[in-house]
Order: sequence, then C-alpha cells, then structure tokens
Amino acid sequence: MTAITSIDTSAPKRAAFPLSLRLAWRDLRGGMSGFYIFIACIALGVAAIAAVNSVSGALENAISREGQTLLGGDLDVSVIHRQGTLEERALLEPWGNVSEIATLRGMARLEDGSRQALVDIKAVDNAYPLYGVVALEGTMPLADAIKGDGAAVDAGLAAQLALKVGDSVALGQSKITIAAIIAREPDRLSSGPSFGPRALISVATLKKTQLDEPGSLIRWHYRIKLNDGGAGDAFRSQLTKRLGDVGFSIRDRSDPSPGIRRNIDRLAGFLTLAGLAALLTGGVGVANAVSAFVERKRLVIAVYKALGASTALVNKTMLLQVMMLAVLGVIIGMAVGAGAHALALWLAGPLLPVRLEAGFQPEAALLAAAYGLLTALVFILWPLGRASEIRAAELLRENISTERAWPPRAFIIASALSALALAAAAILFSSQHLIAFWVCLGMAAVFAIFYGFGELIRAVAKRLPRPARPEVSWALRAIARPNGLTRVVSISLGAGLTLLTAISLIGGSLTKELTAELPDKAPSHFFIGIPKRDFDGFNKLIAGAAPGSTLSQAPMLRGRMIDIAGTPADQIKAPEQAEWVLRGDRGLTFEENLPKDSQIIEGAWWPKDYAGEPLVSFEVELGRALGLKMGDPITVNVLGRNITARLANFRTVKWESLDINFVMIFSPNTLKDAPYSVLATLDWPGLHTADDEAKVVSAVSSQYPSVTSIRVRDALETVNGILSRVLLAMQVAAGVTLAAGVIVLAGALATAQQRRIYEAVILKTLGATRRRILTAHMLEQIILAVFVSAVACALGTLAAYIIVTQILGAPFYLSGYKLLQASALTVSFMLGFGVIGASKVLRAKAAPYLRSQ
Amino acid sequence: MTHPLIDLADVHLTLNSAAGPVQILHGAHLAINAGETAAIIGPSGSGKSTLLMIMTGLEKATSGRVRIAGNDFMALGEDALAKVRATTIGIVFQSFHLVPTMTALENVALPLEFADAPDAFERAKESLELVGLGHRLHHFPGQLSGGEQQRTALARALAPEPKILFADEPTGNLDTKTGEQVMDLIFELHRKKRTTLVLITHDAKLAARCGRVIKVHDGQTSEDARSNAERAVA
Repeated sequence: MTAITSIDTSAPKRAAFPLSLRLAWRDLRGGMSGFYIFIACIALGVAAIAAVNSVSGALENAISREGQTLLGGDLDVSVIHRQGTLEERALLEPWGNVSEIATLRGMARLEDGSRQALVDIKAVDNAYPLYGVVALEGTMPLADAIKGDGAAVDAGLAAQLALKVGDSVALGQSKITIAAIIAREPDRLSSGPSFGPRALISVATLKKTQLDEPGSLIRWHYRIKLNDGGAGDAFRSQLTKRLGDVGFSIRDRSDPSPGIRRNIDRLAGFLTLAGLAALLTGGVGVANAVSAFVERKRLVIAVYKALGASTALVNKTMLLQVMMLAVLGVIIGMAVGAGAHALALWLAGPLLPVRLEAGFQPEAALLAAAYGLLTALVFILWPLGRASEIRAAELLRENISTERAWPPRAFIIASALSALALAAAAILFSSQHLIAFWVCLGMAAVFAIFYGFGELIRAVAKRLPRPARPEVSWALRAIARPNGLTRVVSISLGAGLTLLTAISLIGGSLTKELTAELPDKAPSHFFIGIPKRDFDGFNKLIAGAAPGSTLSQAPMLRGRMIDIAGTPADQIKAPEQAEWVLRGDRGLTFEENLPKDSQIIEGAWWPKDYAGEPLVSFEVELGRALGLKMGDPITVNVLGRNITARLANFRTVKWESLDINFVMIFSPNTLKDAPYSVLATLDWPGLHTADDEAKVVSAVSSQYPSVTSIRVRDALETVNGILSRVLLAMQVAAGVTLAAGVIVLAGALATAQQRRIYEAVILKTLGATRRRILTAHMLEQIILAVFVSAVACALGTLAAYIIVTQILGAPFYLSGYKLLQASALTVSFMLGFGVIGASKVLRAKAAPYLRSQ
Repeated sequence: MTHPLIDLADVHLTLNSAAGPVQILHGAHLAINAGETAAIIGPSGSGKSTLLMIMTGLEKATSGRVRIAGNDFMALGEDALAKVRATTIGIVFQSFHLVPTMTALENVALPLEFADAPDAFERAKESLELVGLGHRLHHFPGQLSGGEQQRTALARALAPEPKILFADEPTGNLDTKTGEQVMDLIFELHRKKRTTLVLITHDAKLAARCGRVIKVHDGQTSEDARSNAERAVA
C-alpha cells in the first residue's frame, strides 16, 4: 500500500484505552436494546439497599450529631433506686455544669378518683436542659411551667383525662397543676420506649409526691455539660472507675441512645438482606439478559475470532460491555436510593425525633454499589462463559449446536468466588453475623429449591400422557420445553413470594399472639412499686375490688451486673442473645421456693429457711450463653452495694406466659432486708368489663398513690403498634423482591415473545382458532402460577413456623387467608402477563413471520 | 526446496453428531503456491466449506498435514491460529459478516487492531479507498447496499495485507451485476498485490476465471490438470 500522507481527522482516537474497552464501547453505541430488564433488575435491588442504608445512616448521623441535645449533656451518669450522694455529685461538679433529673413511672389520677393514667414522669432541676430547649405550646418558659406544683405534660395526658391547662391531677401523695403542654422535648429519645405520656415536674414537686421512696423504680440522672468538651474520654474513664462499681451507668454524647441505634442497625440489617434477596432475584433477570446477549452476539464473536481476536480479548470485551451496563444499573439504583432518603425526609421528617439532613450518604451508596456489582458478577460470569465457547467456524457452518453447555472452568470458579464474596460481604457488613449467615444459606436454599422445582415441573409435564384436548396438550408441551418459561417463573416469582408469605405469616402470628391470644392468657394488670409494708392491705383491696382474681407477687429491686466469676461485666464478650443481661439494670428478686412454672435443669434449689452464703438461680439459656458454671460467683450492685452470690442452679422460665419472671432469683437471705418494693400481677378470669378493670385501678391509685398500674392489653397494643410498623417495612422490602421477580418474568416473557408469536402463526396457519391459542397460553400461565405459589406458600409457611416457634418462641398460627392472598397475587401476575402476551401473539399477522423464517 | 503456501496432505475430519460420528473429509490433498488463484468447487455437502475452515484455522483436522504460510496448523492452539489469521489470512464471507454496531472504517480496522497494528485506522481508510468506499468511512453496515457491504468486507480482508485471501461464495448474496463488479475488484486487487486467492464457489463461470479449479467430492479433492493447463494458456 502507498504511504499515507494525510489522515482523516475524524478517525477514532485509539491509543488511550485498551482494545477490549474500545470494542465494548463501540458495540454499546448501538444502543441498550435487550438490556433494559438487566439494568432494571440491578437498579431495583441497589436502590432498595441504598435507600435503607441511606435513611438508617442519616438517622444514625443525626443521632450522633445531635448527641449532646439528645442525651441532655456531654455525659449522663445514672443510678437506679437512689439519689446520688453528695460525695458522688462532688466527683462531677469540677468538670462542668451538672443537672439532676429523675425518671420514673407513676399514675396521674383525677382528684375525684374517677379516672387515672400511667405517666412517664421526669423531674428536673433548674439547670435542665443543659443542651437544647424544651418547647412548650404558647410562650411560657419551662422554668415558669414547673414552678410550685406546676407541670408541663404531653397533649396525650390532657386528652386521656380530659384536662386543660390550669387543671390539677393527683400524683403520688401530692398533686400537680398542668401549666403547659409540651411541644418538643429535646432529650426524649434517650429516655427509651415510653408507655405513657410525659409529665415534666420539678425535683421539689417529685419529693412532695413521695414517689421517690426507697425501693421505688426511680432512676436518678446526673448530666454534665463539660467545661472542656475534649476532656470527655478522660473524665469518662475516671468516672467508670469511681462510680461503675457502685451501680452507676455512664453514657456519653457519642451514643445517646444505644437501644435505638441497635434497633436501627437491626432493622436496617434485615432490610438490607431483603434488598439483597431482591438483587438475587433480579440476578436471574441479569443472567437471562446476558444469555440472550451472548446468543445475539454469536455471529459478532465468531467474526472477531475469524478476524484474529483471541478468546481472552473476546471475553474481556464482552465482560466489559456487560459490566458497563451493570455499572449504569448501579448508578441508577444509587440515585434512586438517595432519592428515597430525600423522600423519607419529606414524608417523615417532622415525625422523627431527630432532624435528618438531606445529603449523600457515601457509605450507604458504596455498600449498595458493592452488593450490586458482586451480584452482577455472580450472574454475568456463568452465561458469559458460554461466549468463549463460540467458534469462528459458526460463520461457515450453520448447524453448529447452540445447546447450552457448561461454561469453561475459569468462569465457573470466578462465578462461585463472586457468590462467596457476596455472601461474605452480606455476613460481614451485617451487625448480626449469625443471622446474616443463616439468611444467606436460606436464600441459597430457596433459589436451589425453585430451580429444582422448575425442572421437576418440566419433567412431569413431559412425562404426562398426551391430553385429549389440544389446548391442554400445547400448554403442557410449552411447560416441558427446555428453554421455556417454567424455570424462570419458578425462580423469579418463587423467592419473592416465599419471603412475602413468611413475613406475612410471622407478622400474623405475632399480631394474633399480642392482640388476641396473650391478653386472654396473660395477667390482666401489672402493679409496680407496691411498698412492702403495704402489700397485705393491697392484697385485701384487690380481693374486694376484683372478686375471683388471683394476685401473684414478687419482691423486686433493680441492680446492675458487676462481675461474673472474676471477670468484670463490661469485659465479658457475651453472645448477642445474652448481651442484654449485662447491659443496664436488671430486675432482681428473691424467692423461698422454685416458681411454679420453672424446672431445675442443673444444680439444686436452696432449702427452706436457708441462711448460708448468698445463692442465685439463673435462667438456663441465658446462663449457659454467658458461660456460667455451677458455683461461679456473680456480683450485682443493688442500691449502691455490691452483693456477691454463688450460682446454685439453672432453671427454665416460661417468658411467654407474661407472668412474673426474672433472669436472676436470689436466695431470700441475700436481699430480704433491702428496701424493696413488690411487683404484683392480677389474673382476673371471667366476665368483667373495661369499666370493672378501671374501678380496680382507680381503687389502687386512690389508696396506694405510689403504685403504678399497667394494663397488659394496653402495653401489648403499644408493642403491637411498633411491631406493625416494623412488619410493614419488612413487607415493603419483601415486596421489592417480588417486584424484582416480576421484572425478571417480564423480561423472560419479552424474550420468548418472538418465538411464541412464530409458534402461534404456525398454529394459525394449520387451522388453530384464536380462542384455542389463547386458552393454551392462559393454561400454561395458570398451571405454572398455581404450582409455584403452592410451593412458595409451603416454603414460606415452613420458614415462618421455624422462625416463630424456634427463634421467637411464640405459638405459630397458620392463616389460610394470608396464604390465599399470596397465591392470588401470583396467579393474578401470571394472568396479567398472560393476557398482555397473548394479545400481542393473537394480533400478529402470519405473513411477515413466515417470510422472515 | 520451497513449500507451497497452502499445503494440505491426507487431511481427515470427523465430527460428532447426535446420530454418531460423521466423516466429512477423508484424505484431502491440496497444494497452492504463492500468487496462484484457485477455485474450490463441489456440490452442497461435499466438504468444500469444511476445507476452507481447515485452511483458515477455524476448524482443526482430525489427522493429516495442514501447513499454511509455513505455519503448522495442527500444532497451533486457538489463539495462535487467531494471530495467524489476523496477519496472514483474509476471509470474505458470503453473508459479509460485518459488525452491525461499527462503522465501515471500524469494521475494516478490526483485524489490524487484533494484530496490534499502530496505524490500524489509517490503513483501514486506505483499504476502503482502494475498494472505492472512501466516501462511506463512517457509515454503518445498515446504511450500505449489499455490494458496498461486500466491498467493505473485502477491504477488511485485505487491510492487513494477507498472504492469502479466502472468499466463500463472495457473490452468493449479491445480484448478478453487483456480484460481477465485486469479483472484478477481487481479481484486480489480486493482480495488484499478488495475493494468493482461494475462491469457494458454485459458479462455474467464476471458477473459470481462476488459474486452477479444485473439485471436492465426497470429502476428497481432485484436480483436472489438463483443463487447468488449458486455462493457464488461455
């Protein structure tokens, strides 16, 4: 060839990128046809994960950012049952401003004794709040509102007792006058879950109510606004040394509400796993799209090879091309996830206890991207491997088999490694590794089962005797076809439907237990804080007011675990399910006899009138989880005093009975001289109205103002309200998985549509009527939907049964209605697709298809 | 002693099919020297396309000797064969087989890029100009006529300046007039560049334009030396 003297400047710039990237890019210019489902599948799962983590991250950031305000100080040092001593307060004062606060529950009652309500009382001093502002309706400042016997209360209390500002209610041995309604309490979040409306009063008013008598369940907080904000760590470690051993809990602004943070973590963890299930379901669509892509590109790949491209170059080009699209899916998913954060802010911002800030959450986005790309790799590599088996000879020989074979070993290994990396990421990034491990295993099992089930349906359809009606026969042949829809329908709808069924049944069981079954089996009321000297009188009052009822009682104190067998409690690495025993205050009691529903599993109960060294009985599962051995010394701090007792036995506890149960029961000689109060439960079988119950509570409140009455049904309804919201979030997450399945199915149907139209054209040419073709199509869809939903319901029921009975320890209720709902959903999806698909098939004109073939 | 550029001896090929092994070639012989033009003819199913696949390294013979431009194809792996194709062999297909998402220029540059040629696009442009498509550089295959597509395919096959040009029924998808124009171009380029040309064809008229005609029948090759000699004289 002659020498080049001038070059067309429009020639592509080449040297900057490797050839594989250039080839991939050139091919992508041709459009993304065939990849929309692929992108949607990845984007949906990534969006779900990004949204969950973005919102939870924003919440956690807000909690950390507003830590001082939420905690009410730089540090919060608190102790139960008693006020801090002057010496203890003296330890705090040199470091900054100190505010003293007391929190407890009590009964506010109308002065005529006709009605009462459980209230969360917070008694504050003049320094409160150290950070933030208590906003009251109107213009009155807090200091004015709580002056004298004044109180600022939640609107809920006023509504419950039909009170208005200026009215008075009795509280303990005194009364409070409602001076204002609380609009916003800055440190509400750090107080933990509340069972009643708030009443803010002064410490002086609390003293007048006499609700702070020894043994009552009152927690005294000392909040410090540090002079030197940076000295927090040094101060905290010094305080831990000095006050940790005398029963104080210490929290700092970095984690103002560990419980809430833990719950956000857990819920986000679960929802992330559900998002992963959506990604995996979408992975089936990814794999289908890549398989179709490889088929479409057979000739191009053969041309590349015929022109001298190496297999490695072809593989790299194809992988890059598909991964570029996967990255596009991930970016779309991340953007939608970030949008969900903004949506949550817009919808729920005013309701949230903290102010969420709009903004990008890089960690959430990266986590979602990592999951998205790993899932894409898992499902891309396998079908893409088949591309490397395409030979240039296909250009010259048309009859080369295109039957699906296993991809080369390198692709199988890479695919398996990606799957392992994905599972490892899911487990490592989860705050609950073990649960994440089981969920991953469960998901793998569900996918394997539905893959196998798809094959089984095909095999059965193939072996069935040919039905007399041609429509049924055509439907069965379509189901039995090797590259038909059977397997895709099974995998894509099966996983989502199983998850939805399981969550629906778990929710149904828990809700039924909480709202219908438990209230009938459980005691009707709990009475907390009965002074021990008053118990006999209290017993008589109940016997008179609630004839036929049974009052069970147990002494109750609260104490903190200090040390187990020589290891300080804060250094014990407890398994997740037992960690709570070591955290915060635990209810403690003492008993002469083994409780009636308990059994000794190991060791022995103490003899009657035992007077030896202090002994303790521990609930068997928690004791074993903490690694306790018989004879181990266990030290708890009660009322500032460390008490050490030896482990005498492990016993069973039936928590679900809602009777009085404790993790630790001490021998009576250990605690009986402590200033304890009595906890009692009222079992009142038979017919009585809510008014009858209210009369009992009213009598108790009038005669024993310091006793707190909790109606079990109300408490369970509160728990059920929280549970319902959590379940809704879970159902939405499972719905995303099902949506992914629907997208996958839509993609598979679109891929199969040309073949279906061609078949219908042939059938029409041979004399089949439109009605017969339609019937065959619909029959195929309905048969698949019915079988897949039956298996999904069975698997979902099994999973729900195991989770409810084995993990949550609750009775399982099978709801036929919920199963029917799930099945109806599947059948309607399939029918919808069937109608859309069939209408296109029936509308198609024969001639163009016959000519093109 | 110099070896023929294409040197096939006792080539056998057996393929496995669902019905059992099928023997496609049994004992094919072929020797074509540099600069020759040869037509391979034979009825459908005779094995002529298979012979082309073996000569281009797209298919591996079961046994026998396959030496192309000094390369022992029986000893080379798939990627090594691809490399030989990128530098030594040009192929023109009946169905053109252009990559639909690439422009004419990019299609022609492909084998040069596969051979790591630093000036792939300059040479591709030159090759397209040579076949009269200098004005169609940035057109996609869908925007070209059948004849233009086949000329693009020819430019692509010739761009790396191969020693051998294989053409499989190059006019099979073209109308008679366009087919003749394309063949004129192929023979003109052969004359200019002295590229060895191997044509697979059903068309006796086209075969007659070649220096040698090799018949494939029932998986074996044969050559009528006399008519070839007559053709040479003509």
